[in-house]
Amino acid sequence: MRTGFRTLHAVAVAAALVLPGDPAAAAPEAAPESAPGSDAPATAVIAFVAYRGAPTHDLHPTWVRRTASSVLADALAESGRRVVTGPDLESVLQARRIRSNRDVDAALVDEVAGRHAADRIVVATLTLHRDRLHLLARGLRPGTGTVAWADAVEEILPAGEPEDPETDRARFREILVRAAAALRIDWSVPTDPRGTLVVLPVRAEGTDHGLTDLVSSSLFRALLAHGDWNLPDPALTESAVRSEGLHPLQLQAASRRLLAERFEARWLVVPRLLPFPIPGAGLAPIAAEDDEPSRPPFELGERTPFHLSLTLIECTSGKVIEGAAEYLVPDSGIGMFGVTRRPPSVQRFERGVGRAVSSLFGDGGGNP
Amino acid sequence: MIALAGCFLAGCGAPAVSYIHPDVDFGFMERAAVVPFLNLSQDALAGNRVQSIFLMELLEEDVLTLVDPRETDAAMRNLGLSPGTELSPQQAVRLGSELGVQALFFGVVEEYDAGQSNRTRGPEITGLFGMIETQTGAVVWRSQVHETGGSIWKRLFGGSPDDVYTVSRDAVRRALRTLL
Repeated sequence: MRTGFRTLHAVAVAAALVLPGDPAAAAPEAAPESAPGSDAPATAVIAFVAYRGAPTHDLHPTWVRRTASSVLADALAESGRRVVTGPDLESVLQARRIRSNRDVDAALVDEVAGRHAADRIVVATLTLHRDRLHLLARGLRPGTGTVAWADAVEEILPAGEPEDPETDRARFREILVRAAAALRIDWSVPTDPRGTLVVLPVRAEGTDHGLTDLVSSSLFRALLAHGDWNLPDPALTESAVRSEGLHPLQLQAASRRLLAERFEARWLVVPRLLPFPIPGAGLAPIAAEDDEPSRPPFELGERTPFHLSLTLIECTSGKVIEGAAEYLVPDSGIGMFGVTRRPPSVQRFERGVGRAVSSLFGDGGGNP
Repeated sequence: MIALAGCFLAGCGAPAVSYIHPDVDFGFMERAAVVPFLNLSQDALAGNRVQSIFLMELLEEDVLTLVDPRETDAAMRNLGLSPGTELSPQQAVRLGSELGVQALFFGVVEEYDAGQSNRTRGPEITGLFGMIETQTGAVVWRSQVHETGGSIWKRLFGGSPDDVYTVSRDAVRRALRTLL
């Protein structure tokens, strides 16, 4: 088991990984099952695991994924609601070849909502970095197709050599429980939404999907906190654009019109993230298209400065009506008495994105 | 004299060398696009970085309506134009018509050193920025700037040079000041 996992790390660096129904799973914990036929409304939890760099722990990916589903189901449990996850969704994910949060589309949302009577869907990605984990989750209301909440949590993984598997699993589960409990979940419906904004996928040159997902999550969180916008879920907007043969990362008059008509959106938010050289370090990596799988992975970059820019575009005319940029300087990581810490990256992006959103809409959160 | 003293203290490059076409009425230009910058440096992302900063500084000036770079990229692809290459006057006219803009901003990053080669001197950037009016495809504004992050003052008193972002932004601002 251990040998296979190490090999897998080498292959799966920077690639989202889902292994539905892997028989090699080391006694995975049973995920809670739904109660078929129950009339209670359901929350469906679709969880993915992604690996970026070789983590210090040594746990089977299937076990990690199922444990993540189970822990999230516990964290999202509410009285009077069913939680649908694990085996109930596995067949749907397998049939539709859904392997990462980027594959989640309108058809999957419809099927999960229809088959399980789920009026809430949570799409979560647990990203395992070398020394930390990121739990990114967003809550989607299938009825309106909008994002209700989005959050990202970071936990530092214990350093050192792995101990016996049981201890490692218990410790890892404990960290996951802590991360899931820290998610700021809010299903409340905006009482007086300011309008509909479509957020385009983050265009990031020279970075990996882990960072763009983190920026995207921070952006949804900041926009929801900054004015009760109706934010169509990215799975639905990207599906709509793709269904017309357009690329979601590109922006054309046709895609603007489509998004305006289908989602009644007046504005688009277009995010861009660019890494800057680390002072005193070598040159930045080679630029590559964001969706090019063969490009070299960029490190998580807790020491890398980033330039984040947001433009607000009017759907009908395509004109940029506002722009905001933030230079995200990393924490030095040097604490008292010169002790080097591992500065949290989630906080840096959350704060930077929050400042950029405030600057885009003004501090009052008003309409553009 | 004061400006010169300021330059000495704060650290800056040589004055921008610029050209503005004498017979162009900038008043008719309402809508513009920023095309991907040509990158002649060894840093593969230098052009994208400076272009992104340029766009934000232009938006900050609030003098023209701008088209988002993603839409500009898509229009270039539709016309079979490679991003990051020099546009001929004919190509500029076609792109202007496709985007419905009266002006195209372009840039060439000639030198982009983030400070790796000389830490005392700090980051150094040399860039050429320009504007093409899309009726004829003629270049109507051009400005070349060189900016560094270090200064004699900082060297004398042990201050650290500006970071590459600040230097890039200052270079863009210095160039735009010759136009706006």
